[in-house]
Amino acid sequence: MPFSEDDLRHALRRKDPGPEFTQQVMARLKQTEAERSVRVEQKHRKRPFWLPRMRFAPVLGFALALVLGVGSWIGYQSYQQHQQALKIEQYQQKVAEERAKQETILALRISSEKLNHVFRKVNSALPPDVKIRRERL
Amino acid sequence: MPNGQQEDLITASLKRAIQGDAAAFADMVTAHQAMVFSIAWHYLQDRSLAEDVAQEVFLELYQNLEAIQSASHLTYWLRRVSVHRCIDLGRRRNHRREQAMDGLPEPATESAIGDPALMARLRETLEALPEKQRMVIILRYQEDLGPAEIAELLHMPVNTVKSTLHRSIDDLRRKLTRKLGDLRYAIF
Repeated sequence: MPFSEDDLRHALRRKDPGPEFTQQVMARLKQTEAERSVRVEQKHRKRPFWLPRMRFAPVLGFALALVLGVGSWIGYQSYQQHQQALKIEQYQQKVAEERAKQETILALRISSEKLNHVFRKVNSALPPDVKIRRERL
Repeated sequence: MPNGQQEDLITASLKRAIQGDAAAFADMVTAHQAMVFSIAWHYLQDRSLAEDVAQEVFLELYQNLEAIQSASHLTYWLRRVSVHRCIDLGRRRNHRREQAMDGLPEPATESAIGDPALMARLRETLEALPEKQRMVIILRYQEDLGPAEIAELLHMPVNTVKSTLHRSIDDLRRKLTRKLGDLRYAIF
């Protein structure tokens, strides 16, 4: 059966759903709005005022965990550095003490040698009966 | 398509609706309900489903009112959302019909010229076309859109729209002839 484009246009012309359609849409709109406002009210009522909204809770939790983790890591690192610095300081102090000890011993030896030398000179210049007898202390 | 005066009225209603005027929104629904409902009804061939889809489209419009800039943008937006809602629902429904078109009275029409039997057969045959072809035909002959506008709405190349249109008309002719042949065979 042949048909023209006008037939098709006529078959597919716009149809009005009727005057009650707008009322149905407006009623559904009212219902949706009412349901939404009830939902929002319930959401606000359940949550204590001092608590953050639940949708931010995971973000807040993650941020808190991140801050704690980074803080602990930084604290541990600074403790390690402090301990290392303390050890180096103690070692340097020990080395300085050892050096001072060695220098003191050397100074005492030099003084002893000088005194011995002076003693020998004085002793050799004295007459034999006056010679000083060297005694060890 | 709304003429200049209608367009001004719709733009005024749009402005008032954005400010929260429910009556203005109702005016907008009244002005566009035939277009939205007819796209859904011709595509789904199910009056109650078409009404549901049309209502959903207007509810979605209410949520997105602030994004609408003008009367022509509103028409374009409603057409686009209706088309995609229908295609989505058609795919989900997967040929299951909750209520046949024949069981319900035909919606009000402006005039009753033309052969009613041919009109009914054309609509029935349209239902048998694949979804994209059906939507292209509806947009071309119900909404009087050109291939470029259809291509934009359906995200298709213009040449594909043109070839789909030709193929759809051929398919319609072939199917309609076959259907009438079967009918004649059944009668005689």
